[in-house]
Amino acid sequence: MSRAEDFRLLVEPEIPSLLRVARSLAGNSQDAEDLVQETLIKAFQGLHNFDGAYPRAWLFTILRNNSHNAWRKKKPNHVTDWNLTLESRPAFNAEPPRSAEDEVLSGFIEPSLLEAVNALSEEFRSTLILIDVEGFSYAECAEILGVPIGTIMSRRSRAVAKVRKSLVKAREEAVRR
Amino acid sequence: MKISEVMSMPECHWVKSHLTQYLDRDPSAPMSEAELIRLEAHIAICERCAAVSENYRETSKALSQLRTHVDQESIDRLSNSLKRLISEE
Repeated sequence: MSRAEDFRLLVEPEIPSLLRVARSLAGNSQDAEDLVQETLIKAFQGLHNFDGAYPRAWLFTILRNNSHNAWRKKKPNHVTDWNLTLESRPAFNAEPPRSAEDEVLSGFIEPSLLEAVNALSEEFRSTLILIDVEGFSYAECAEILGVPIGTIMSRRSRAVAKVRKSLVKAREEAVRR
Repeated sequence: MKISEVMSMPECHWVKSHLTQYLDRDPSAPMSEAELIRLEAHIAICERCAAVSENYRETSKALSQLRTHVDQESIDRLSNSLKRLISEE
């Protein structure tokens, strides 16, 4: 089998995943498609440097590098890590109302879920998509995004909490209507 | 709010900050035996944290729905691009 055919067999099944992660990084579908296109070209050009280990992580790391190099310049700055510290610890007695805390989420409506995920900052969104949607481990996600595992754990925890709160709020609003 | 609830708030905060790590059981970020015992002991007696834990499970499950959220036309265009790319070699 040729090198090109090996590459196609490796990459083609990953296109849906690449698109979802690219969407989380680029923020819109058109840029995401362009980003994946560029990633496929870069990966093919760099195939001779690939050692064959962890192909998914290799591919998604190229995607992330492309995103940083080409797309970040186009966008306004989103929340960065130092912002996370602003809400690292809740003020005393600053828990949300018990009714929201006790709400068990079920029967999600997808638009609410999409809105909740889209409302996240790029860092939170990409972490969540890589782990919860694409099934990467913390270590793989850290390698792909180029940050320490501790940062991934923190982002993931906060991202899940934010999505959960958005969904609880959406559900409460739906009940009030 | 009851005094017992106020007293347990620092522990609730610690538990919430470790919940995703606990639920994921990711081998690259294992919890120590002592941390596991501490977290499970608190969830067993704190209804609020038990409810949050259940909500986290549900949220994570809901997020997996996004796996089906793909634009088939984009996929087709990119698949065709990939075929063109390798045919040019």
